[in-house]
Amino acid sequence: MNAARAGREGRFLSLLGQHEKILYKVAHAYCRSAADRDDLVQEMIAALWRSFDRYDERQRFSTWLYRVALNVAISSYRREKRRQDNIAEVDPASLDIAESAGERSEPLERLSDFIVGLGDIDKALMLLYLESYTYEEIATTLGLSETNVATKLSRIKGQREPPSTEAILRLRETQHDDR
Amino acid sequence: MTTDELQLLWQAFDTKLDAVSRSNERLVRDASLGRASTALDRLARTVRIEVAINAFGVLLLGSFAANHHGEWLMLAAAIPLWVCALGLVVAGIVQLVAIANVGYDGPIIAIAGALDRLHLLRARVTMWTFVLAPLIWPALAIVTVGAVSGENALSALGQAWILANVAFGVSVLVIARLLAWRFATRGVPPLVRQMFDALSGKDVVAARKQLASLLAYESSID
Repeated sequence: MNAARAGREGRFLSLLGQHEKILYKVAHAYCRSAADRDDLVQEMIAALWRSFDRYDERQRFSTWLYRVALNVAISSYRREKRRQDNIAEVDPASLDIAESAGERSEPLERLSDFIVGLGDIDKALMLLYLESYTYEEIATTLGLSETNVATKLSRIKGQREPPSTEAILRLRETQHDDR
Repeated sequence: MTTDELQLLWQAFDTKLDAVSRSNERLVRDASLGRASTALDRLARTVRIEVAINAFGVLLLGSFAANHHGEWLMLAAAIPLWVCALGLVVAGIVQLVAIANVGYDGPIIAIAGALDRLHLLRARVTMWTFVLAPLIWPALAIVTVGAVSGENALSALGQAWILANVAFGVSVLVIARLLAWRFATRGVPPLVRQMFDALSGKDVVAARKQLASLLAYESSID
């Protein structure tokens, strides 16, 4: 392995190490089992490495990472969906963000249910939105117009009833304890 | 669900996910980048092998047809096979070009659309391969007999054998498609189900539906 390649690999792994949580967030939103999530993360790493030559340093690495990771996750999800027609009828409890995150809590279960219940592209839209990307950034990443992004987000948010006040209060207490 | 509530929940998930990330660090640490391949890389490898095999078939059949240019039965058998093999080569090259144009760092909707179109093309190629296989089987038998023994298939196999196999191919196709539409999705092993779904055109219908829903998603603004 030559020095240039080793340097490139080192730079890639260092950047990836700083932002790897993004891969797990995306994997949790699109996969049911831990084994599937691991496979998906590995597939994402492969795709990221293959695309790294085209990464423009003027762009935020996390934005680029999100785009590649979501593309891999969506293509894998759509492939699986074609293979097993019933994937759309997954029991939300089986794709459990709350459980994977280490403990069960009602608000996190609600978040899990909420994300699992979305379509494949809507999941990407919502993940980017929850990460506080601007409408312009979301539109560029998805390849939609800003108006379309805004319309779809308000439609998605209107689909679900809000979590209970007690649940939100409990969550705030938990976050306070964590600090 | 309001914006604040959702983002509050997401921040909580983010914090909890730190523990999961730490336990999964090995995935990044152990990533062997030199051998890393995506599903698309694996598909490209498969398609390249298919193209190579079919191109070899085109050459063999072309050579066979040239060697039997005065024999109508041999040509009548070899030319449809040659056309099918050539069609598969062209379809394979189109797929390879489509795969080469997919970059995972492109806009999500565009990439999903490109992959859906690629899948639709593959589903169509597979369906036509399954549909034509029983029909061109007698032609393949005639060419094989001619190439291996050098004999005229009419004298080696007999006219009755050839006609019976044409009838058999048509019957197999009709029965298989009927069965595929009626029973494909219930209680059969996955491999058989995949074959039946490909043969019946259910894969093509599903791929077309998926692409249509993506296009509708892209253009829908109320």
